[in-house]
Amino acid sequence: MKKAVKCIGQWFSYFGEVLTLLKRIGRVEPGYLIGYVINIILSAVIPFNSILFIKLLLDEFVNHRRFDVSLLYVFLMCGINFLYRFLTACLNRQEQMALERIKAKFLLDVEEVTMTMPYDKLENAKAIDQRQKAMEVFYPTMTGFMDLHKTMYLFRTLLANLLQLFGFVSILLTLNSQVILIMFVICLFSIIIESIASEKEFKVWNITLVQYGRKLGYLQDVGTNLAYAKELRIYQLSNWLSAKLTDVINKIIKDVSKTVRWFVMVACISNALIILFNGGLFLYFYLLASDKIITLAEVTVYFNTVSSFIVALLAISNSLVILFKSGHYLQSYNEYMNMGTEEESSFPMEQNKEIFSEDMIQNMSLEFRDVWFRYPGSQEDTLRGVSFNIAPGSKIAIVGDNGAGKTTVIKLLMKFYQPDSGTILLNGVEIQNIPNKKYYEYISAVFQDFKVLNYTLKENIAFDKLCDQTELDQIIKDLQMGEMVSRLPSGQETICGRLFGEEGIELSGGQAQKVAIARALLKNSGVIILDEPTAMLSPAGEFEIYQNLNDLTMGKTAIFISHRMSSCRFCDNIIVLEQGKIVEQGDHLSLMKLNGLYFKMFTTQAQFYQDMQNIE
Amino acid sequence: MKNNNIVKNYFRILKIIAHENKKFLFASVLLVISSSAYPFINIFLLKYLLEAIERKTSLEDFIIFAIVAVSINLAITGIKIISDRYEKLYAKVQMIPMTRRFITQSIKMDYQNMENEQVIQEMNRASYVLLNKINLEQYLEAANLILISFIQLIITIVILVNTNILIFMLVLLVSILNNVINFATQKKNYIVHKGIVPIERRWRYIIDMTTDISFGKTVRLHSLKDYFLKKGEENRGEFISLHGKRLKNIFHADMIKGIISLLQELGVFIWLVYAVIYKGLLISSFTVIFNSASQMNASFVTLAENIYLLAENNNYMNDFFHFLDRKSQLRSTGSLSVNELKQTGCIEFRNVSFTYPGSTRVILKDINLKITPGESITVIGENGAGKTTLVKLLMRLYDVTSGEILYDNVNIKEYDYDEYMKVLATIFQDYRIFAFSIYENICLHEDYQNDVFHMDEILEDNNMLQKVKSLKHGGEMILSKLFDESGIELSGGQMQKIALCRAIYKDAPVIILDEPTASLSPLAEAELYKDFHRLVKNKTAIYISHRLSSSTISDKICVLHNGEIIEYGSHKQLMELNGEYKKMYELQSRYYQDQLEESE
Repeated sequence: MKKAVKCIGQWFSYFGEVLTLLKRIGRVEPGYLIGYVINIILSAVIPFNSILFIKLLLDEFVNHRRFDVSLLYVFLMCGINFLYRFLTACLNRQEQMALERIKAKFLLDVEEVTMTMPYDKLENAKAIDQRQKAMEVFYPTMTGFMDLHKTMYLFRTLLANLLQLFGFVSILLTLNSQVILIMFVICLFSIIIESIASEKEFKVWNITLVQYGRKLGYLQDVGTNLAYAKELRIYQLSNWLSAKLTDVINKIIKDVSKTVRWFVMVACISNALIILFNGGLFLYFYLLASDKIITLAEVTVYFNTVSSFIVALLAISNSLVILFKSGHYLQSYNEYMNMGTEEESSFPMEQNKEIFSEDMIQNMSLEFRDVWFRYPGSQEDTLRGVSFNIAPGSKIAIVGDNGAGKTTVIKLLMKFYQPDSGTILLNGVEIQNIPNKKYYEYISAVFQDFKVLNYTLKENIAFDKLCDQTELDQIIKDLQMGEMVSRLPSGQETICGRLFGEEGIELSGGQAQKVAIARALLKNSGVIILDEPTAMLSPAGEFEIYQNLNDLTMGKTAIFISHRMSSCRFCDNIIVLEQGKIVEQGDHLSLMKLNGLYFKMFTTQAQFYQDMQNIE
Repeated sequence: MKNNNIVKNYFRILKIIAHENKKFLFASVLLVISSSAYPFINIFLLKYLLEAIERKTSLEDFIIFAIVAVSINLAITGIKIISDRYEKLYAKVQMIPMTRRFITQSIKMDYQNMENEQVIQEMNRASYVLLNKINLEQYLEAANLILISFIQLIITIVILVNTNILIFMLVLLVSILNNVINFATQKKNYIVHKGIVPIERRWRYIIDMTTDISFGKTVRLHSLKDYFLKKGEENRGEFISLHGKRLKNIFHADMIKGIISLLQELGVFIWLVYAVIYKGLLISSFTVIFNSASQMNASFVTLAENIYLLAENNNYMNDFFHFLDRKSQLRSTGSLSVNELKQTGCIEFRNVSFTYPGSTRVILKDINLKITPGESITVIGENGAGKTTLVKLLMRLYDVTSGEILYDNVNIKEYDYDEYMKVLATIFQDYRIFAFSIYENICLHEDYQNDVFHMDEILEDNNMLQKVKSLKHGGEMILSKLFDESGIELSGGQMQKIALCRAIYKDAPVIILDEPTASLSPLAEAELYKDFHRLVKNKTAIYISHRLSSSTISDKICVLHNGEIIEYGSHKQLMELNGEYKKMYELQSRYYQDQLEESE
């Protein structure tokens, strides 16, 4: 009993989600809602057209047998049917158009939220799941079950069917109210148990199995993605992968089979009840007609009404499953949208107010004060009491072993995560108090996993920002890209990638890296961070870059992370991290004198060249 | 030609189903039979009810009839419900064998196909019939509905033909016309669709970029929100207007179909009225006929719709089977097995040249290289010089364009492909760590309980044992957060060590390392160099690197430039040559010399 109540409650909440959606749609396209309602009314009413006129015809056949009157009925019936088809064709066309516009708008909202929400929330598994569901509803053209078109259509038919039920019931009331009562009870019972079964089935497919579904997708990706192709061949992983696949799917089948059995049982019981009742009515009609209590025509009408009633009932039951699914997806969409808009409201300062004066922007100082940080779900602290000060315009290198915390420092600096305790200050202002949009004007970065967009080279560097062409040209020259660009078929207007057409060019790893660096430089921020910016470049290429980077970042505050000690070459200060703590700080000479970790790292790399010299 | 494929593909799927999933066939057959009969239940029930009333059948007879009718109704609807549910379940199950075949083929296929644009697109379309996509279900459902509506059509034809040949012809004509109109509309819309595809592709690209997690960093950093929101505007506008064209075509078709249907309805009813009033047609027959006429229309529509759906999904099915049928050239050249006992690990390149298929640029020109067993060589050169290609040829991801590669004095083409694979262990620059446990990432199979001790030894050799043991689940720790919140992401260098452990675990006579220290810290890199000899023991090792410091661990160095070996020898020999190598060496070491001098 409790389960039934819970299930009905769930049903109502999903119903509510669809209504919220309709309200949102109404704000964007009010005309659509009007058409929607008219469509529902038309669909609800049309079955009664045939019922009425068939009755009239049959009465005519039995009683007067007038050809002209019968013809009139026929013309009226067919005429109304035609009118209905015409009207619904118009309405459907409007609906489809409006839905595409609505989908585009809602998808835009999802994109906007995704691009502005706090970064750490973006990586959250739940958010990923919700976003995927939201996208499935609004993605352009039908791609899956949960497309908006389907939801709107099913909801519309559901409401039409419900209205029809009232009509059918009123017809049947003219027969015998006790019959109606029995029918009502049976139907209610049927809907309830089917509801519970639907809800169970829905839960299994869409909640329990989501995890498995993701794993399946992953395994399929491993099996077919180029990235894994070499490994799969060299290590002969065909059987291993197949076994894993089969294992996951067997688990799914086991879980689902149980639910299917349960659902089938429920559906059969419900069906049996309805058919037995139907059989009883069958006999009842016969008796009434034989005793001349009702006419032949009335028998036909009642029979058809009962059949239509059952059909409508079945349709409603089926819609319930989809409604659950729609409701769930829409709920995910709503939760996701709410998550995204939280951030904006938490600021003590206004969005666009300038925090720093003009000359301060070009001379940024950075400070970490006793920063502690642990990744969510981790057992240990990644940063322990990190404190350092970067003077404006100085060049800093952060070095340390793998896992020491270098990238974490950068992520905190980029406001992708927040410190658990301690503060980070930009020019003396706590970065937590600077609205993100403003903050990112002051900071620029080159990441290890940068992406080159499938647009022109110029766009890849400058995006849509108005920039000085000479400035851009200068950066290209400084990064030794000039020759490469002149060799491209359309120079700076060459499209980088072949996704949209043959005339695009795929850039090599090294070329792409230079584009990423150019991006950061053009932005001309006061602070620039470079995380392994020469990983893809050859020694000669790397050498060139570092030669020029010093000039290119003149005046800016720059932070480098690299394993290659050559990046420390021109740094004013080097921070040495070990297991989340700063163990040494200073410039190259003073650190070498310390004879500590830095000395060890440096000489270890240098050692090899020394050894080789000794071999000579 | 295309029709042949539809039928051929359908039977091929049936064969796979019959082989793997017999319950599915059984459920489908029951579903088809019960669904075909279903719409006629009410038609005939009403007919007999009215007939019984008109002919004044006795109560007892009627009760018997009623009981029979209810039983049949129960049976048919019951079977329909059960078989429908199970059919849907088994349709999903069916994806397993399909996916298994797909993945197996993907791995068997020649590597070069994986970089081939055409094959990639074919694979992409073929994957639509697999998991997480609905195309296979749609395909099977469409096939069933075709059979169901066809049987229904036969039944309605029988009913109507026996009534009046003219009525039958009218209804048939209208049904056919309706579907001709549908077909013409689809053709028109297909042209519109082709125009939409590139626009859609651009739009989807933007959607993917704006919702990509790693790109999200750049989006925030450069405030690209408005940039992207605006970029899609043009696409969206064009898309919607083209969509409008599609809808307009459909609307016109609906109008014409409406008129034709009106004429049919009128025709049928006028005749029926005439027949009842003047020709003594029974009222019960009256209801049967007009119900059958509308059922015929409906079945025809269902038939045509599903033939279209089947044809559409058949495109994916075609790509799927076409993909499965691809033969591997590399795998068909040889069948020798590798003699485990007598292996020497001796590799030789003889006059090897190579050009990527479809390209004109010669990547490797007349390479001659001999590596004696147990030797370590480093291959160096600028980006694009051919280092990675050399290794890809050795790994038989591609076959040489001319010349030959010999292993143990036998051309590698003569070995059975999988056998030869046993000879190599590799760590690539873009190695992959799988979303499974640490142990499983090392040994790459599921029954590793007995190997834990061995793997711990390898971990210790690579200075990872302590770190691994400190984790919550130790070596059972899952190396990804994808499926499990309790999984972890190791740092770049730590993962590289796991990849190294994997290569060592394989215990192959030849080990290839492609920039294995790229993301290792100086200390970790030093550790690797120091332990390298110990780790690769007597194996033949080939090392590709940008950093010349790796020369300390190699016996020989091979310098590639523009696809040719320009220098070859030991470090000492090459320094004496005063050529390319010496230049590169001085460039790299200079920095360290300068700084060391400064600090003294």
